[in-house]
Amino acid sequence: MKAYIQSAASLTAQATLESLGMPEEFVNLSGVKLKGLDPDYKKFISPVAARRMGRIIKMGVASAMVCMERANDKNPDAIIVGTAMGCVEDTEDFLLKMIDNNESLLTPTSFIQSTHNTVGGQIALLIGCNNYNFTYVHRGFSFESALLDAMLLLQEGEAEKVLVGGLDEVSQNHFDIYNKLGNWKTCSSSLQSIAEKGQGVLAGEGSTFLMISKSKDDKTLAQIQGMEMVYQPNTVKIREAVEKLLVENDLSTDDIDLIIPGLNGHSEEEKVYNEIFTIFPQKAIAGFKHYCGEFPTASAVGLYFAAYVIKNQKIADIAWLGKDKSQSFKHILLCNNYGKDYFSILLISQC
Amino acid sequence: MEQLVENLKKQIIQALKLEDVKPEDINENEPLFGEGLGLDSIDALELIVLMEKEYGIRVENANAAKSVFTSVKTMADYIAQNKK
Amino acid sequence: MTNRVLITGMGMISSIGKNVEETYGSLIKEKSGTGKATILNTIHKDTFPLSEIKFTDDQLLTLADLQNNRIYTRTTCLGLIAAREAVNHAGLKSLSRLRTGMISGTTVGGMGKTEDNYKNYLLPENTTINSQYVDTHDCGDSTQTIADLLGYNDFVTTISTACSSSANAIMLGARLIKNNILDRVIVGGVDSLTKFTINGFNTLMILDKDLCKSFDADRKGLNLGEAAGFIVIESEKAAKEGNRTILGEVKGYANSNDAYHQTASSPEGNGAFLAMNKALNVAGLTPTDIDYVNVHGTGTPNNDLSEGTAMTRLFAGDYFPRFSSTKAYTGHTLGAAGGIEAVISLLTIKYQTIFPNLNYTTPMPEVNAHPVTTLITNAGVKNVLSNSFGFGGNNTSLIFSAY
Repeated sequence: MKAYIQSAASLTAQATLESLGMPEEFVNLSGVKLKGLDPDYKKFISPVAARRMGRIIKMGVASAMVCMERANDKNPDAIIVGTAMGCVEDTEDFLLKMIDNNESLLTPTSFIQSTHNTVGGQIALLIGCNNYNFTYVHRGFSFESALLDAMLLLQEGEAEKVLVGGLDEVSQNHFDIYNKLGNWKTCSSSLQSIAEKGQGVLAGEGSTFLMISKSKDDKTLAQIQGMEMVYQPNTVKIREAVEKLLVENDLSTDDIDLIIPGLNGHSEEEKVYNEIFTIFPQKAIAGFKHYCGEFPTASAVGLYFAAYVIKNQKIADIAWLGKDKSQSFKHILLCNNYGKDYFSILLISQC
Repeated sequence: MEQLVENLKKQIIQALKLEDVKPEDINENEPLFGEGLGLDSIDALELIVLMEKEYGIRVENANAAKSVFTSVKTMADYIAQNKK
Repeated sequence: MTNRVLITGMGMISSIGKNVEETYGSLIKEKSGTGKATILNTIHKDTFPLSEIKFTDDQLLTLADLQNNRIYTRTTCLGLIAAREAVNHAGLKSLSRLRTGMISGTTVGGMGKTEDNYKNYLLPENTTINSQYVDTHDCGDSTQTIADLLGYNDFVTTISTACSSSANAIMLGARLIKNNILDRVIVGGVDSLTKFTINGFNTLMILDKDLCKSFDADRKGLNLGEAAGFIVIESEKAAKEGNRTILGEVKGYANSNDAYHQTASSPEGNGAFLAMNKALNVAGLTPTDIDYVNVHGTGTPNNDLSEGTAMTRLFAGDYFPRFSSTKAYTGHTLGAAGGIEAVISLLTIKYQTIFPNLNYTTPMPEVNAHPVTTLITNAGVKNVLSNSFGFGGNNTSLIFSAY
């Protein structure tokens, strides 16, 4: 299945929301987690609406609004969101109050906000959209599921354009709990977190939305030529997935100009990319997780990155990971892992 | 009564997260719902909890809530009448 | 030419039975599963009737055949029991070249264990914690676990759209088969009772202190329940190849958004109307083709008004189909509702029996029709419309037809 990317917007720890693609200036952040850079939410959401919204909902709404503005289109035929953990802060808020108050004197707002489809529902409410509205909550395939559904709608002729998003937040409690489980990396900076291979990952969060469509115009950023979702990846499965993408698009390994892997500095998890590097030796490699950190829907940031590389035909120096660089980008292979079980491969091309 | 009204305004602002609103912006007689402050049904539920938490008064159902929460003044009157 | 979507298996566990046969028995005996909670320890257990499955977590582990070391949530156990029943009913074999997936809808996920352990996780003196309950908190856990245990994981995903979750799972599965992306899918959903949801719904003041009275003028609210309901859907080709008994067909489906309010439905029932109307279009049917509607019918003043109004708009002429809410039997099982009501709709088709809308006495003034209040046999049902409407304005309608 294929789709054109008309526009994209991404809120991450870097100034991505204001830029078209990755920002020229990269700030090498120190600290144990990469917190999303909050914009002035009042620009996107009225105080009356925003007062109830938990942070992730504001993040989602803001990035969705920017995406729609860039597409010059506030009337998508569907809104589909992927989020593995949902509205964490609101969930925690209600849960802790419930425990502390022994199930009494509880207020509804954080409960209402905690339901996983709140972001999709809020966007629909704000733009008055009565159309198809789904939320996927399946771990490292939450965003991929949303994207698959969106491309299916286009293929079925049920939609001309779909607003698709991937977002997750890391609250302080969430961070602390997973810290005790040894999930996180102790490192001095975002660049170090990718460069120094070891145990753990750098905790991140972000919200990315893309407007994908059936047809292209001169604003189109790029084309998604295919996507493979590989569960419990191994050498054979990865090879087959890559081959399928190439064969279906009448391409050979030579035609791929750039690999964008979701390298996250976790020495065990990164082993999954070895097969990709074996199939594509000496290819140019550029990464994105030093921008946003690791979270289940980080692949959406990768797609945002890839789309703009295709459109702008350039990559900031900081993103290059391999020795080889290329100058022109016709076909990009984006591949991303979440943990050891979830691996997705997307082919993104110029159109 | 005046103090009660003042306190109520502050508590409403806090409970409903009306960040841009100051107590002096709220007219105690203006409607809380619909026009005026423009609150909605979720706010009504929040106010029910506020009543119980701060004043120990339980508003049993949504219908009773309509008359109690018409304005800050009606809330204050209800509290004055029912506070234990 | 798109594939037809045929139903070849079903499984269900709820407060009215641990499998489909027991469920049917309760339905025809008009035996509700709603009453006082005896397993979940909530301060509200004497106030609000709940539709609890009368097995403890340990007993469910045994019933699900999961007595090994790994921690399985209540949600996973319930889901596995129902999914396995559906798969066995269909006679699926996991070593097959047919592309088989699983799509589940849930809202609660592993919250049951989380709410008991959360404070412990955060205590500073607990410097190490057991990961097992933490790892099973998210919504995707039960789906992936069940799919892996049953051996059907070519494509697995989880949907969470509040009360329309499992109906949406069925819809997605149907589309994947129609478009030749999968050959067979296990679709449905599961949710277990938790203090989190009981307290959450209580803050919205939409729980009834008595047994719920769907579509009744004096209705006060809903009763929460827990359940799992799954069906197996296959392409016509796969079903023929496997020599399956066909239970019915997923003929129509649609999802729309009310875009009115975060939790309340529009009084005109816009979202509901759009969903039902579109489902009819997809099915190639007209309103008069619907023989029975299994309404969402939670018993809240808002839902039943909205849904009733939408139905009045849809069935605008002289014809108003028979309808009932089965939530007085099973409670409102949130993410699982669409899944179990799919099973109930299929039982209606199989046994040509319409199950009554229990606890109904006084008609709603806004709806010019009454639900079915006594068991109807020899019902002449070919097409069933099943509604599931959730928070966030998420409205889904499915149409199941006799094959």
